[in-house]
Amino acid sequence: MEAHTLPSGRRWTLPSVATLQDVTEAVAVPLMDRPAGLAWWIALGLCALGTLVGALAIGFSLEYGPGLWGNNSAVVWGFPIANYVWWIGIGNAGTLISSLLLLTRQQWRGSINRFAEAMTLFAVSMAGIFPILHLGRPMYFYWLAPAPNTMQLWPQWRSALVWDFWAIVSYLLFSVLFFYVGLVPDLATLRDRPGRRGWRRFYGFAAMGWQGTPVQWRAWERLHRTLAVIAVPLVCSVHSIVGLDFAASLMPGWTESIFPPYFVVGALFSGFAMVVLIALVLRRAMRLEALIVPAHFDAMARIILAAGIVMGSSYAAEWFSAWWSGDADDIRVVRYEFTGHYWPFYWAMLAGNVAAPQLFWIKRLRTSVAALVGVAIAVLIGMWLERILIILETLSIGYEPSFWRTYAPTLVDFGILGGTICAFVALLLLFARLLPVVSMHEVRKLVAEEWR
Amino acid sequence: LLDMPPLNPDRRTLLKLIAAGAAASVAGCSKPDQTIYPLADQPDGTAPGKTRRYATALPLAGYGRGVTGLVVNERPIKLEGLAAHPASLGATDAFTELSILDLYDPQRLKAPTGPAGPSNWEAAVRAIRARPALRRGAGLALLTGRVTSPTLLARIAALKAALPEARHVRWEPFDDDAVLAGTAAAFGRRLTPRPRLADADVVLLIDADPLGPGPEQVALARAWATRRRQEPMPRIVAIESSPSASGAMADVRLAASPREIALACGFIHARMGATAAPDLPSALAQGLSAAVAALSAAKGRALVLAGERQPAAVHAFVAWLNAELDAPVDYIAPVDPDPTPHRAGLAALASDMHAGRIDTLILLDANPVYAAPPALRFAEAMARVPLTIAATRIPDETSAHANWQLPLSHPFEGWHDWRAPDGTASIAQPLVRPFWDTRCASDVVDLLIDPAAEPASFARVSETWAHLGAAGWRDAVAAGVIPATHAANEQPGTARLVLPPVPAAGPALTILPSPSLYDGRWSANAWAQECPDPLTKEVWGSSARMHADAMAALALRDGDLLRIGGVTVPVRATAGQANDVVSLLAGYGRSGTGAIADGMGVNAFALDPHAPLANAGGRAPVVTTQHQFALDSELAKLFPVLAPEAALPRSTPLPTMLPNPPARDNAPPQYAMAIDTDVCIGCNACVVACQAENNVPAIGPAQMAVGRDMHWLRVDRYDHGDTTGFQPVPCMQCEAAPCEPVCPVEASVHDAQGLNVQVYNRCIGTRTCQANCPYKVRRFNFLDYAQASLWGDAEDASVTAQKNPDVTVRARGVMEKCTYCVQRISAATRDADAGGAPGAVVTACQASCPTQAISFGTLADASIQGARADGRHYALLEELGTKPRTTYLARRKHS
Repeated sequence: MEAHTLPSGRRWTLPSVATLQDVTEAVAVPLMDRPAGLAWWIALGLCALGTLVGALAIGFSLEYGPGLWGNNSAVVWGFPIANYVWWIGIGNAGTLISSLLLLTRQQWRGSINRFAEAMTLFAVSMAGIFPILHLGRPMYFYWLAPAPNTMQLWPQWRSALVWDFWAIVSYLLFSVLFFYVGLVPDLATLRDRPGRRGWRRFYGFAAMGWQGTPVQWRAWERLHRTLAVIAVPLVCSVHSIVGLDFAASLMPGWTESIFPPYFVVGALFSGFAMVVLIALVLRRAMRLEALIVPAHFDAMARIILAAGIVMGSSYAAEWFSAWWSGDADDIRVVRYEFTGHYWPFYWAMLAGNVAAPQLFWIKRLRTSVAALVGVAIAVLIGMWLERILIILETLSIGYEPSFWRTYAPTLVDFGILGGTICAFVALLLLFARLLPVVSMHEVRKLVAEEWR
Repeated sequence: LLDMPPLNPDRRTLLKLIAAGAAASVAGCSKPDQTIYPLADQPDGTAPGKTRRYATALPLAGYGRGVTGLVVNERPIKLEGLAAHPASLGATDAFTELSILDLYDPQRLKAPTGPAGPSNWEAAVRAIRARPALRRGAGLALLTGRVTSPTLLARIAALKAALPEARHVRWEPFDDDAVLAGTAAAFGRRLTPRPRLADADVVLLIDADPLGPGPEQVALARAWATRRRQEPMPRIVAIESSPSASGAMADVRLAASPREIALACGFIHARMGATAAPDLPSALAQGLSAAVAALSAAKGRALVLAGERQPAAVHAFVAWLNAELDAPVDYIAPVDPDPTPHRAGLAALASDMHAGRIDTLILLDANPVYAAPPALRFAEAMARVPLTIAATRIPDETSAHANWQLPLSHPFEGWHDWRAPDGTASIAQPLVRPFWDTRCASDVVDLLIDPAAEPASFARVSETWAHLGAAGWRDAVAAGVIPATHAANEQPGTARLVLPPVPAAGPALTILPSPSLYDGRWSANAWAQECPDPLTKEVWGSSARMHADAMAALALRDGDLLRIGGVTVPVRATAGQANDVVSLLAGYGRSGTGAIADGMGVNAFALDPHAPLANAGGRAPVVTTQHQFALDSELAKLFPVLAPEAALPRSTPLPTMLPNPPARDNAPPQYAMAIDTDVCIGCNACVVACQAENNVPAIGPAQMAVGRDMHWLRVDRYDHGDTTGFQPVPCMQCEAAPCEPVCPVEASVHDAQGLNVQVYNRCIGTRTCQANCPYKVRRFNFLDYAQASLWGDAEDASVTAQKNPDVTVRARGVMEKCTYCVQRISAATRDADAGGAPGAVVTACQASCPTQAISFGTLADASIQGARADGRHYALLEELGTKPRTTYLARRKHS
């Protein structure tokens, strides 16, 4: 990729996008006029296969119980909880990009927020599988909700898991709403564009009669901005509460007041890494080079770098507070992180989450495809390792030495994780063929502003 | 029926048949025409769901131990001790607790099997009677374990009267030959020493394990604990080649090889007489010198014990030493009347079998093919015998080599009598009718005398005790012991000094009775296999125990395979093991005994004790439930060890914003438990008692290997430097329980009695409670353990009959935990509500404990208040603010 500020003075789009019509065409042509390529079909086939394997693994787990996983009496949590935290972290970035950048008037978000929001939706859907799947008796998951019942029992409101239930549900509902509201003007654009009748009817139905009148736009702006204002605390709360699942406990390594903010930053971090990966693929596959420009990657790389530094500081804060507290149990957990059974994974996590993003101090690497892919994958793996290690380190070396036990995952564990990754990619592939991957109306606004 | 129409009805016929069927089923649901009467009052006084207690007894190595059978709805579901019985004293050991599962074991033989497959008793008797041996008994041999039962002895005597040339051989894998030979050498006659541990201030254990597994474990442990509760704290020195429970509780533990033990005897003798002592390693010499000084200073209250594995000369020396020390030890004539040594008797039988002099061999509950010394080649010998008949409860190696397999009844299925190790006789009444076509041992002997004999164990036992009279019989049966039947103390006379010869140096192999399988008698018991070894915490198998240096010499690490002759066995470095001694537990390496026992570990009896040791390459670590034993400085608080008179610093209660609510006037009793780790010998009786009482499933080696053990109560073993101790950990029933606020569905809740209860039906299995439990005492049903069968192809429906009807059988995906036996608390409350006297609640673990280490009661009870006021009182992880109701008393040790 070339340097990111062009002589034309346009930073976030390429000159090949000359008119507002060009924006619409750049997004709509690959969607409506071009058939899906062979690569798309192969990718979808592979992902479907992986999803099937994952579905089988889930089916077996539901049939026989959590005993098919690696969990044991000491390490009662394992992959499902780690997967859940990881996916919901990834799911944080989309809404954050849309809402936080909208509120802070970062116009460049227009090119990336649509697929980032879609990613959120799919990631939260994947995340949503796990809290239910991980239960011993998943058929009774609804007991977490205050459903009227003959036992006259209510959820136990002191439990972070109940807060979690509400956080996920409200976040999922909100994400759908926010995604859809942002989509409506674009659906109308596609409806009005020449194309196949069936698709236009579909878009027309989904556009709910959007006419683009000034009154509608004013209402839309107000709604979108209001939703964005709601989104920010929601995004922070959902992952803070995930952090509280651990922090609101008694276990060494978990009782950390830093957990809620640190989880939110970690979520943002992994989410941006995933957005970078998706952006790189979409940009190439759907020929969106004119709309997703090196400057976008430069901006996202800076955020990843900043988040990486915050993560490093959070880890350091954890070590420091263990040492400063002088609490033998906390110190033991920290020592165990570096030298215990899982030490290679802990060091790998530090490499992925703290060391790898430091590459982005170098300006050239912030727009290098290889560096972006490498760091994004390193961060995603590092963040997954962080999620699983938070569970394993504490539960493997708790208060009772007689009950120090290690954890080893099973094939079923990997099958479920792999299955959700495949399902997630499959959903993204379908999304790219069904809906505009870039918010046309917002990019048009961006182009118009850049002209000014 | 002969002219039944062909079974292809047309539509019309089919409809008719359906109509007729419907009419018949309606008729089937109507009442009979006559008046019928519900059985509102049970004729025998039982009430559905009520627990009834029956005194009875169970044998171990031929000795009877009294038990109380808890029977609900005509099903025995749990065993407890029998206070009146001298080998029980109201408590149990792990073996007694395991035995209830044996009754329902699906692997039991259900009918006789002959050479041609499934058969019946009549055919078996015909086969026996067809033998020429039966004419006068020449060539007929009956092999049994130790027989103390007066009735069985009478039947065997009757057999010998009827067939004068028949012979009876009795043999136990763990015998007392050396003890009796030792006393014979010292006193000129065979006497059984009976130490009075309750009177001993100083005890020297020479490879003896009075607190370890055996018929007298409960009685000896109780005596030891009784003495330990008095001041001054007794001092115990143990010289042993492999660590034992007694060694773990000793103040000084000295590892010594068999050779060093023989030398030590000479050393002690020299020190007692102040003559020149033989050379010993300095640590051993120092320890022994101190021990001899202590023994001499406590004359009259000093006691020396030698282990049954030690040679006769050591026992003779110990008899002399005890006489010198005026030790609190009594002597009785052997309870087992057979004067032939076990080993000699079996060897003579085997050689006769090899020589073809035995024509018919009847094996009554004995397994020589598995446990006899390999030199006897017993399986080959059996092949030389034309007719071999093995009467056994569960098929084993011996029955596999026999022509006929006869099913023996469980002791609870017939009438028996046994003598306790002190000679006390007890009549064991049955608790159920035989489940299958099985007979008691005395019935099998009867069949040899009279082919038409019907099962008559009641008649036989009542014959034996006819002199008690009807009332005396009733009292004896109800009480479980027959008064004044214990053996009288003998005056041994002066002891002759025998100094043990010193064996040549060299590696030695010792076989220890397994704390859960004994000599293999419980190998087929799933609970036994899953019961962690007290010292190594191994389950479903056992490693050879070696000294770390000896392992290093062979480049072995824990879990590596050691080759002993042609056999490979995983090894484990064991603290307190003598350098050139390899120790194995008996009971493993079974074959043909069913899915539970087969293939678990290695048969120690079959090993060649002189085979060279080598590194076999490869690893096969045995599953353990605990990996970390050493407590370093930061963890020492978990298991404090005090000097005898010392006290722990009193913890000042931290200021809190959430004090306990003030007690209301009509507050229900607040339950609490106190566990005295100073007398906990890690025997696992409580672990199995809890399993039996609370329907805790056994989950098998694969699940145990993943680390999903289900025992509600675990016994942690911890090492402080060279001090070993045991800490039983049930639920702490925290007043501020960390598990409760994190449960999203309120399945983990506190009740008004201070119990932290788990509502199984409400639990959805988030496992957050266990994640947040600092003590890790909750257990999760990762799979459907309650319904899963460990018994392979065996139909396991019988096992469900053991389940305690008062305790929910937990489903898959549900968290479970110790509830202080809430069902017993509830039963006591119901009894009190019904107007009965509110009896004290006794939890299953408390009832089982041989040393009464577990106290349970309300916070107002003297036992709990006394424990809580003790200077040794502490709460586990008190600093977390969980306010546990289960608290501990610290272990003590002479420095």
